[in-house]
Amino acid sequence: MFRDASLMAGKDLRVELRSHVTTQQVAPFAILMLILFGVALDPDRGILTRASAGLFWVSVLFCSLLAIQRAFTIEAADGGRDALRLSGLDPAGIFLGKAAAIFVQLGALELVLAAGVVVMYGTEITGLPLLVATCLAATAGLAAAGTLYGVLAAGLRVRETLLPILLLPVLAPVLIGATRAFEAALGGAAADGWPWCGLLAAFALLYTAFGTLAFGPLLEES
Amino acid sequence: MTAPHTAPPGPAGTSSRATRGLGVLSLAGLALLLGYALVWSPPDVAQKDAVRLMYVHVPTAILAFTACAITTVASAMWLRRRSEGWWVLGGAAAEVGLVFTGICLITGSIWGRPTWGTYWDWDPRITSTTLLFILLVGYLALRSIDNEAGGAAPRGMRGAIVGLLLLPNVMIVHFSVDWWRSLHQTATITRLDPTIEGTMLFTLMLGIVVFGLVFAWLLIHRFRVGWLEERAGATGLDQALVERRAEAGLAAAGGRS
Amino acid sequence: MVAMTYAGYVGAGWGIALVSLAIYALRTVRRGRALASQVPPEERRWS
Repeated sequence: MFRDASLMAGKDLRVELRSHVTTQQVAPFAILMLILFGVALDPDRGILTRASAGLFWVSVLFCSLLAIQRAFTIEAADGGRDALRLSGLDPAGIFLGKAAAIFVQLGALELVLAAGVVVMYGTEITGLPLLVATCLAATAGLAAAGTLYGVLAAGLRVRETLLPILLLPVLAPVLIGATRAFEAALGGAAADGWPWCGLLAAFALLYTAFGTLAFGPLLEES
Repeated sequence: MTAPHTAPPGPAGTSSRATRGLGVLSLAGLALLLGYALVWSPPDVAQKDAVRLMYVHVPTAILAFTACAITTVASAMWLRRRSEGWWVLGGAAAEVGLVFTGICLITGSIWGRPTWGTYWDWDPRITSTTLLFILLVGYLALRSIDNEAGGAAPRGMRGAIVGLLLLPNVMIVHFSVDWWRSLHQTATITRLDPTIEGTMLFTLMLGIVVFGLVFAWLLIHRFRVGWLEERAGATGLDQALVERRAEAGLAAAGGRS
Repeated sequence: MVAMTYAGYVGAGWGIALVSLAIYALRTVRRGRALASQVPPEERRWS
C-alpha cells in the first residue's frame, strides 16, 4: 500500500513539476486573496494584523479547493481514471498518494501565504512550534478530507460548484481549530492553542483512516 | 403496440391506513400543542412570550439531527446490503430533515430578535445548524446527480459515502463550533432554561412528541414517493426499451419492403 | 387572547413553521399521487 502511495504521490508531484499549475496559478491566487482582503478591509486600521490568522486560513481553504479540483482533473483527462483502475494499484495507496501530493502542494502554498501575511499584514511570528504543528495537522486534514470529497465530485459535470458546497462545511472544524491555534500562538498564549491542534490531528486521522477504507468501493466498477 | 398504463388498482397515492391514522393523530396533536404553546403555558420570566417559539424551535432541532442519524444509518445499511429501500430512506430522511432544519433556523432567528435584539447571533447552535443545512443541501445535490447512472463509481456509492459521513460531520462541526463559542462566554439568555419545569416542560415534551409524529408522517410519505420514483424510473426505462424495439422492428420491416 | 408580548414574532414564527410543513406535506402527497399512476400496483403494496 505504501509503495503504491509513493508511486501515486510521485506521479502527481511530477505532473505538477512539469505543468507548474500550482506555482503559476494557485500561488498567485493565494497572493491575490491576501491583496483582496487588504483592499476590502482598510489596511490602516489594524484589522488585517489582528485578523491575519483567519485570513490566512480562509485563503488556504480556497486554495485547497483549487488544488483538489486540479488533482482530479489530471486524472479525468485522457481516461486516466480507467488507467488507474487497470494499473492494479491498491486503492488505499492511491488515496494516500493523492492526499500526500495535495499535502505537499498545500504546504508550499502555506509557506507562500505565510510570507505574504508577514510582509503585507505586518504579522509577527511568535509561538513557532505551535504554528508549524498546526499547519501540519490542519493540512493533513485538508488533504485527507479534500481527497475523499474530491474523488466524490470528480467526473461529475457540476464538480466545480458541487465540491465547495460539499467540502467546506466539512472543513469548518479545521478552519475553527487552525485559526484558534494560530491566534493563540500569535497572541503569545500558545498553551491555549495546543488543544486545538489536538482537534486538528484527530480530524486528520479520522479522514485519513476513512479515506483509505472508502477509496476502494468508490473506484470499483459499477 | 404497447398499452399505456391505465389507472391501475391499488393505492392511489402514498397514503395507507397507517399514515391516515398517523396523520389524524398528528393534526390532533398539533391542535393540542398550539393550545399549550400559545395559550395555556405561561410566559417565561426572562424571555416573556418569546419562549413560545422554543416549542417549535427545539423539537425541529432535535428532529433535524434525528434525520441526519437516519440518513447515516441508511447509508451504512445500503453499503452493506445494497438494497433500494435503504437508498430511498437516506434521501427521504435528508429531505424531510432539510425542511425541519430550515424551520429550526427561521424560528430560532425570529426568536433571537426580541430576546437578543438581533436576528443572527454567533450562538454555537445557530451557526452549526446553518452548517448542517448546507451539509444536507450538498448531500441532496450529490444524490440527484448520482442518480444518473454512469461515472466511475457504482451508482449510489458517492451518495452513500457522503450520507455515511453526514452524522459524523454534523457532530464534529457541532463540537468544534460549541467549543469555539464557549470561549466567548458572555451573559446571554440561554435558549432554554435548564431548570424549566411545570407546564412549560410539559409543552416542550408535547412539542417533541407531536413534531415527532409529523416527522414520521412526512418521512413515510416521502419514502414512498422516493420508492415510486425508483420504480417509475425502472418502469419507464423498460417501457422505452419496448417501444424502441417496436420502432426498430417496424423500421426494419419498412426498409425491407 | 390575553395581550401577548412579542405577539408578532410568535405568530410569525409559528405561522411560517406550520405553513412550511403544510406546503411540504401537500407537495409530497401530490407527487405521490402523480407517480402512483405510473407504477404497477405490485410495486406499491401499502394500504
